[in-house]
Amino acid sequence: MNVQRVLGRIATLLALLACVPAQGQLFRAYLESTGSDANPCTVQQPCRLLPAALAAVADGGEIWMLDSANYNTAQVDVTKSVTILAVPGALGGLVATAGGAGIFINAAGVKVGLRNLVIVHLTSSTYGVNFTQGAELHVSGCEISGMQGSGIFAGPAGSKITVKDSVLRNNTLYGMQLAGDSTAAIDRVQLRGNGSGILATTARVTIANSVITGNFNGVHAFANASQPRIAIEGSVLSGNAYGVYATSSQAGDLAEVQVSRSVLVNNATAAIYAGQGALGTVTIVAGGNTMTENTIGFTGTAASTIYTRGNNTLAFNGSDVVTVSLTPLAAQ
Amino acid sequence: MNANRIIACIAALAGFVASPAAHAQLFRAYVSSTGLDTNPCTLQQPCRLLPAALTAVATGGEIWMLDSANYNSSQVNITKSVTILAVPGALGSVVATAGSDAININAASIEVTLRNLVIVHYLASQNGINFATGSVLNVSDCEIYGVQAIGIRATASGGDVTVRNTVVRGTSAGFFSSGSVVATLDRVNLSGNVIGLYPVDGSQVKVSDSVLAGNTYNADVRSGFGTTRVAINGSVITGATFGVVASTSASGAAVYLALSDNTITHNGGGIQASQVAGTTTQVTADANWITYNGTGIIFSGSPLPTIYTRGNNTMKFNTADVSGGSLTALAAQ
Repeated sequence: MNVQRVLGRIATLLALLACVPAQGQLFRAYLESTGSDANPCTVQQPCRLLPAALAAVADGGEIWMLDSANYNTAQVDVTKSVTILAVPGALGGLVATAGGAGIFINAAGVKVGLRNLVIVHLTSSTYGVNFTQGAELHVSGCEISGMQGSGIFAGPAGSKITVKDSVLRNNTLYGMQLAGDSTAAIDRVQLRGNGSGILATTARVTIANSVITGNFNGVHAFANASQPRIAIEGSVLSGNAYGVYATSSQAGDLAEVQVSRSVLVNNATAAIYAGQGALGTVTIVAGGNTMTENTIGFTGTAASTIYTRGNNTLAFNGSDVVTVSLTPLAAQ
Repeated sequence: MNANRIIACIAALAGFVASPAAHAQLFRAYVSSTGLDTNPCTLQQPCRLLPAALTAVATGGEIWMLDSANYNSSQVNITKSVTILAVPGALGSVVATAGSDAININAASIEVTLRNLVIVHYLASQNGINFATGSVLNVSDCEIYGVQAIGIRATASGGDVTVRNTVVRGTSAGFFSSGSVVATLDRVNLSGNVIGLYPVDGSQVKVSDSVLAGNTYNADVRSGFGTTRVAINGSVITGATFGVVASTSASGAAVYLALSDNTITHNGGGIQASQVAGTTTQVTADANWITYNGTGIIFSGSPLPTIYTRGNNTMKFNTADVSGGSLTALAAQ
């Protein structure tokens, strides 16, 4: 009897100890297809859905999805710094549903990492990832498709965004929609069949080693009371209506695009369109690109400025240069 | 009875045979989330944590993490040549905790390879991987983040380091090397650190096809003594207060920095070179795109450093392209 009572107390104590970290202090919280949200989200007793894990995990901690499953039933609100990942070999599925986003990041100063996740549209959706408030967003190895809005929406001024080794496809609006004055580095990303691949209204964006194909605008620098600045380096822009599309409309607008060492091929309307409006400024600088099999290579409005290094290769286009004129830019 | 006795003998014999292997002679040692450190670290009876496996494995052997779990509870000290990997499909986690390193490599002449590991900060940390002594360190397919000191710190005298397909973010410095370390980094992503790439005091580093993004200093190449030699090729260097800095600080020191085929964008300063009297800072800039920076190229110091150009860099959308000095032409050969 006594021994049993002692054992009972130990068990109670252990249960108590296990509970403590579950109240918001787990360094790692775990999810599994067989988990239960009544569990403490430990590896022995994983939870089932992301909201439970987000409540259990400490600020700056991690959430591991241990096997292949879908891990939400509604928009997942992230208000602390956290890295959410599916372990390698597992497919960590999320849905954007009920007119919400898959993941909604909305707290000042948070740093969020998303790794090896697959986010898809279910019934009605806005964004795969909606980064409205926060300091940093790092997306790696993710696939986001089918959103009725955009794959990734990123707004916070002053935020830093990296997206690497990911696929953003078949999203109705944009693969990636950069609305605020953030700085984004996009590396080895495929943007495929979106309304448009990347839209930047104010952001400072660098795109490298990426494939941007089958969108309406591949990359759109959209100055509208704003100043987007985009560098496209070593990438492929193919099969879009416009590979690169830059426009201004209001006084003070500034759309600046660098297109370097890239391949722009088979774009149905034009490889590069510089559309400076009656107000604002659009400037493009192009060098070292191969631009072939497009209906038009360079075009836009006559007021736009297109600098070239004189080392772009244009051939097999319907027309190489229409309406716009090219200005030589000396190297230094 | 006889049969039982024979089985018992076989069991004893098997235990005897297994024992020597378990005591430092396993070619491969295994750890798994369900293992026990009292096990011999064999595939059938894996251990739980790295220190047990490191004791069990032979010099030059391998440690396999068989499933997704964390595999240490304090600093992991490596004093023999070994490869530590998580099998594909597993997440092999190691924490830097208790104010220590996650992995500390510290024995003469050893060769260590780390593959498919994730190293994170827990409560209080120093470095992710601290290569203090040894001859070779290979890091591949790893992710290191949040450690309070340096992601990968290489100070081993004569150490030869390669890092490939690896991410280091949210640390004080992503990659640090000093002294006689020679390092090659390929397809590395260093982002959101205070300093991304930090080679100093005589080390030699080559970086290719990499992304340095959103660090306060994307690359800070320094020398207080010795000659630091760094080449960065085909990389994206973006979103820092200081893009690439090359500087010397004490007489006799030198920095040689070669920048080729990079895109250097959205930094406060794109390339900043400085030197003090009695030192040498030289930079070559070949076919870089230097755009959207506050200033593209900045000279400072007395006498001014030398920045050579092949005359084939593209500079545009900087508030100013070049300030504080003039580029020096370098003929192709």
